[in-house]
Amino acid sequence: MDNSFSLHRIGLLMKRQWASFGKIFLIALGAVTLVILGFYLYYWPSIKNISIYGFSREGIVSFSFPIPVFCIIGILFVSLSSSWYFSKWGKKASAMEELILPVSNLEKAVCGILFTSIVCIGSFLIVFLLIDGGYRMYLNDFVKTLDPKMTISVTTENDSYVNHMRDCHAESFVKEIGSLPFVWTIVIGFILQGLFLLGSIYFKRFQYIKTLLAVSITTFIAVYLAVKWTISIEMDKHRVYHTLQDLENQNGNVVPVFWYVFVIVVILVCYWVTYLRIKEKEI
Amino acid sequence: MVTIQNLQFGYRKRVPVFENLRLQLNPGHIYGLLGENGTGKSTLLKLIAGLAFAQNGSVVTLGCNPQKRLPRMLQQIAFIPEEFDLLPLNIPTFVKVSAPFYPQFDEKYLYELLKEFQIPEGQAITDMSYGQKKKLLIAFGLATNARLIIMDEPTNGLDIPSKAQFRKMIAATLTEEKIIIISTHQVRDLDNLIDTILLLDEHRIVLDASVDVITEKLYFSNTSQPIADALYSESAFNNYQNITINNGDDYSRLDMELLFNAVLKEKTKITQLFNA
Repeated sequence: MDNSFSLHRIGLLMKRQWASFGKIFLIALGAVTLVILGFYLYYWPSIKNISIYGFSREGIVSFSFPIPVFCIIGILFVSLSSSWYFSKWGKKASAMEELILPVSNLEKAVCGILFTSIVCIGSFLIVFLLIDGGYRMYLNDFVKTLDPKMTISVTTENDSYVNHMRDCHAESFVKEIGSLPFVWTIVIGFILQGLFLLGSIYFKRFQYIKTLLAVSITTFIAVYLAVKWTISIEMDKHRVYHTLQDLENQNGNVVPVFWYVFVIVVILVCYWVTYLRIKEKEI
Repeated sequence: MVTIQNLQFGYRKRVPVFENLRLQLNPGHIYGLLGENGTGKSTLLKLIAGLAFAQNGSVVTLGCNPQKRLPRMLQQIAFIPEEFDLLPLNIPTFVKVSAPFYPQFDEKYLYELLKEFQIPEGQAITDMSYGQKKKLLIAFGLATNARLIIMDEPTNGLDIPSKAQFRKMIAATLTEEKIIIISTHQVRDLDNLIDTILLLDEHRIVLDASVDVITEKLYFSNTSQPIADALYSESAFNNYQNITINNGDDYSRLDMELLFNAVLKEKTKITQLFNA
């Protein structure tokens, strides 16, 4: 046994990391909280703001701003915090201090992964869902205070209906966007976390910019090739649906298992290469 | 406890830092690693600690391959580098989060050493000068009770009283199980402390000898005129410093600086005495 993995040491390392940059992390999280709060306060429920909401026939209130807020701020927070974790290893003196610490390379990698995934992604989700949940609760209470006679009529291309405002309510964020897209958003968060964490140890300087460039170029090439490939295959293919269920599945929101496996593999590869970079790191 | 065999290392291809370097460091000694700028003193220390990897040959530190950086090896190494970047905490918090990694850490001893260095216990590291940070690092390293203490230019940045305290601390910390290796240009700071001299030149260790053996074989003297059969002579202000072969049982005090210059200029003459 080479004693290279101990939960006790990982705990000690987490404690040390928290002591060294917990304050900065909390400041960053505070800033993120304020920005999110800013958006929600700007769209605070009031009679004047009614136009920002959409109403379904069932009286469910929907509003569009939380999704871009969640995605843009989430991507920025997760990518920046992941990119920052190993960034000081780019400096000789700091890298030396970290490498000489009696913790194995594996433990150092695991600690980085836990810190940037569970702590960063987790804290962002908690902050966002709490603010969003609070907003929705207030909105639900707010509509109850409206005049019972107050109605809203909605006319769409195919439909037209009238809702009593007091019967309307907002659903939770997860329910509104759907649990599958929500899970996929988090999965994308993990992919970004893995990539930017790897970038923070892979590059010596300007880790964020370099990783961003690398990710953008790779994504562009991958999407371009995938689209080209899909088009060429689809053109020669005549699909036959044997049952109605097949057709529904095709048109529905079903994600092939391949994609689940693919993203898990991408995340694990990022983590593995991060570990290898730590292992091979020399001063 | 540290064995290096046929070590090959270079930062760039075709520019070797070490070629077939061999070295054995045994417990109970304070080694002084000397060499000109760029000869690879710091690199050798990094290779021993696992911060750089041998390209060929082998390095065994405390029974481990340093390249693996196993916790059980790192727990027994106190590395005090020349350039460092300490966590931006106050001293008690720094100790609280760093000491638990070292099973034999002696907190009481650390605070004794800090007191000797006149560093206030609760001081914030960010408010400390380079010299104070270095003292903290030295005190912390000694308090780990590690079996291998590696120091790269430890006296750089220390004030004059601190250098004396440093010597006292190092002398007190040496036990039969410990190896202390100090790389330095400030040989005068470490007079009487180092018991074995390692001299790096031309990609290898050209001199590996204890102070006793050196003074047994060489005689260091100051004369008004150069000595004709001296192995090496250099003029000082108003006299000549000489190294001659010690034919009898005469004892002279080792002048490390003079020996260093002599080895660089009269390498074959001096080193053959020790390699025979």
